[in-house]
Amino acid sequence: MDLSEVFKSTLLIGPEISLIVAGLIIIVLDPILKGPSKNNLFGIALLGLAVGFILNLERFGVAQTAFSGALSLDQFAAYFNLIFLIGAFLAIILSRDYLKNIDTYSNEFYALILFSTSGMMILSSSKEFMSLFLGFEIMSISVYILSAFNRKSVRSTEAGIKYLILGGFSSAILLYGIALLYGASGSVYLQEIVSKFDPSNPLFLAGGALVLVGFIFKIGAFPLHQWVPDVYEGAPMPVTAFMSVGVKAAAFAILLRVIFEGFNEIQLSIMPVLWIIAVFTMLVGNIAAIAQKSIKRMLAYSSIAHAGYALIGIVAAYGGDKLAVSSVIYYLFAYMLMNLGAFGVLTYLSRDGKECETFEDISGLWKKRPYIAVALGVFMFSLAGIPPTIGFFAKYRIFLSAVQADFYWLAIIGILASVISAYYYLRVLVYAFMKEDTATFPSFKIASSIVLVVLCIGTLFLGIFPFDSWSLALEAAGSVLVAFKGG
Amino acid sequence: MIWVDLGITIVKIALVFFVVLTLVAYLTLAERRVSAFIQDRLGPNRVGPFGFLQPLADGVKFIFKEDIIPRDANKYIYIAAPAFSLVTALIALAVVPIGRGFETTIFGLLQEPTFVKLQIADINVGVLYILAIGSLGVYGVVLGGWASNSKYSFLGGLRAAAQMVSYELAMGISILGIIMWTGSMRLEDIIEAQQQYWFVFPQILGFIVFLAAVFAETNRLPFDMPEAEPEIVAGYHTEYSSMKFAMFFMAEYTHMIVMSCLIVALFFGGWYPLPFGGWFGVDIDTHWYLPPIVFVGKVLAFLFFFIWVRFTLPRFRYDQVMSLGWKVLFPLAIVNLLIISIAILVMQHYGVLGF
Amino acid sequence: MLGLSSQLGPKRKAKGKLAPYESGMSATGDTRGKFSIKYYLVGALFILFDVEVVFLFAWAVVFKDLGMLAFIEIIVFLIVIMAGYFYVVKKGALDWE
Repeated sequence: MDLSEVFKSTLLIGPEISLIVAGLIIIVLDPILKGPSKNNLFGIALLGLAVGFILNLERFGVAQTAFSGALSLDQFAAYFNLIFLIGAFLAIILSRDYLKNIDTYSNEFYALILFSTSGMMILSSSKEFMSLFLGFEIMSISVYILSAFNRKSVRSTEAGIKYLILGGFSSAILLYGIALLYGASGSVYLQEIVSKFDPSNPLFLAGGALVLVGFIFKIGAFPLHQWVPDVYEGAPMPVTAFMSVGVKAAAFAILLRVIFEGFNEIQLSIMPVLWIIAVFTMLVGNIAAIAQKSIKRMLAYSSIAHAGYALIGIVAAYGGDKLAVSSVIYYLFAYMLMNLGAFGVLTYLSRDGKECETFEDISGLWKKRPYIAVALGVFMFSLAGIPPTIGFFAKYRIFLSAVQADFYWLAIIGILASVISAYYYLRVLVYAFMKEDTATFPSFKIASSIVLVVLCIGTLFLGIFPFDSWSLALEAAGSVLVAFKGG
Repeated sequence: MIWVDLGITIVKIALVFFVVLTLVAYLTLAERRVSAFIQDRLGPNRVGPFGFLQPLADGVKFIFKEDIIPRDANKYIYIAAPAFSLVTALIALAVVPIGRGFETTIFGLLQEPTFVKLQIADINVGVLYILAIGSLGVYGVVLGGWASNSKYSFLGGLRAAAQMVSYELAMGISILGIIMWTGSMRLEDIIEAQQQYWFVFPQILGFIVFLAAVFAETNRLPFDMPEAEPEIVAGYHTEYSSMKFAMFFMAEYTHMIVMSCLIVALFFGGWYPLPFGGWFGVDIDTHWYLPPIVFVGKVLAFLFFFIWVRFTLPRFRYDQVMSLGWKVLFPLAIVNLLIISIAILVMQHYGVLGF
Repeated sequence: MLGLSSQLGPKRKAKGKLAPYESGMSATGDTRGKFSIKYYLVGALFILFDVEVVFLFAWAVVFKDLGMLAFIEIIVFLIVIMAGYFYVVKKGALDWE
């Protein structure tokens, strides 16, 4: 690798670099600046994200590789980067009001979100295990700190420690799997590992299984889902919003990439496993969510359930079906909009240093804050998969692809699970619209409400006219399947 | 052949062990005599001529003292700690070359002559090895302080850990300049590269940082926080007595010897006696006994320097020690790194000094 | 050497001799209680920066062969590290008292 190629590759990862540079600037400026100017540093974070967003748009045109093929900058990565960048952007705006609420003006918060986002972006475009692990760790470590960010709260600290220890374990398992695969194949490049795959070699199987375990943990799917409710409940609200959409989408991105990078028996051999995981994830998530008394915890369980729906798409795509892959991608995009919205409403309603958590905290919302109540309704309808919201379209696509791939049982279980989910989503609305107004609500917050309006419009508009964003997802799916078809 | 090599190695190990421990014993005497000289006193001069048998008397007395193990101490760790300290200090000497070596048939025992290096183990990451072993030395101190279960010991151990760890950073980075300059981590390569000029001249900044870090690493004044008498009695070895106490002491002096060897090898030309021009024509491959003399002479000079500094400078405050390590030496070492790398690039461009 | 003096040395039992030394007072409280968070901080920071130094060692050996490329890469690397270092220093993580 000579100088010019390094420069070229460096220019190609402009979006990632813009985030990291913005994060570094924040970290350096924060101790220097004194007084009120310190509170405006989040503008740099937003600027960095905006620059990254614009640079990322270029990637929709052509697929390129950087750093000797370690990173693949294709439409697939670009689409996921879109999810991360929008999620981070809105989460930062939400967190500004939230941090004011808990009396913490820490600019490290924004820097960490930027670093974490850059890690997700590296993760979504990596085609090689070293950069994959690098992105994985940049993303995870920042999120560990973020979940413990509310230092005054015991629960937030507990969430951070729990996440750190369990996440550390899962990273170690992932790394061990990578080491085994490297030992078996002599390469860290996904494509080469897949091409040398040999089912009779136990190293391949054990390595592949361990890598899968690492991803399953980050997704929060069935056997490794126990951390999700505790961490999501304890972490500060905007962080929960950010990681439930960002980390999950990133883990799905890399899971798709690993599965569909080149064709082999692997896809066929892990599909039964994923089938079982998907079913149990949906059932566990949905059934446990019913029993929850806290909306935040309920949303945490529901996020497990949503991971299950997205896994249906992966199972249905076992033969390299472009529609199924794009339905997974699209589902994550839709989930970003509606889940960010749901947590956004809760963030908006948090006041006096406390979070809006229980059902009682929103009782009578309709009478006091009708617009917020309507927004909450839109997001809950969307999460439950009721038309005309984006949640319906995304779910429809997932189930359709399952049916087309002859996974009837999977589709039926999925539909039954969403029927269960309708119960607890609508229970939120019962409290918000029909109960007496016993709760008190904070005054008007301009920034957060803009975010909510944007998300609300997005959820509804894309629910009615989904076709442009859907065709983008199709292209993204096509670009990740290039290698798959070729092999 | 393997038995011959093994035998030679064992002889070398025994020799180094013997010489170093003797040197350590006489260093304690030297320390007392030099301090007496600096403070205008006499010092120990009764046991043997000029007190030369004093270390022997000390050793015997140490052995015949009661070996106390405090009631609440963690017995095994308490016993292991001094041994750990001493062993880690001693094995660092394994990679120090004191000369090129010579060919011998061992008084006609062998058919063909074999080449004996004046170094126990010739490994190609010698510098890294010494740094790694040196950083293990902190365990002995911390374990000793912790196992004693006394507050003074505990504080001493903590301080030692924080201090040694802080200065290790600056030390590691200050050596980088030399590794870049020679492109090798073998101590012998580094010494051979100093035939024309000692590295202390181009790397003066690195040397200053390294010297300060060395003093902190060996817990010598002005950095002897871990055993600062006015504050924490005797630090980590408050509870130790008899031979175990002596072993901590020996570890400290052995550490000094190792660090002196490192300074000489890295910055002061190893076995090259003159700052410029090497051996000015003397063939050191035939006169193989000359380089060790020069090397050991330089090491002794630096040991004297250690003692001299101890009785000249006052002790730092603990916060000063920490901020010196982190806020002065660490950035200075990074600056040194940048200066050296730019200098190498420039010299490569113009082809000066054989680059 | 460890065994020598325990075998040869005298054994005189006395009350209080085996107690931990605390300037003649009888010891109070637990030795292994809480101690300053600063030590943890220094330890954590050491690990962070020492890992960077390990990277630098590998880099330094091949510096002469790689030349300009190695230099530019290390500048980028150091900028990122020194930003972190600057943050740590300015936040007062290394100030004692």
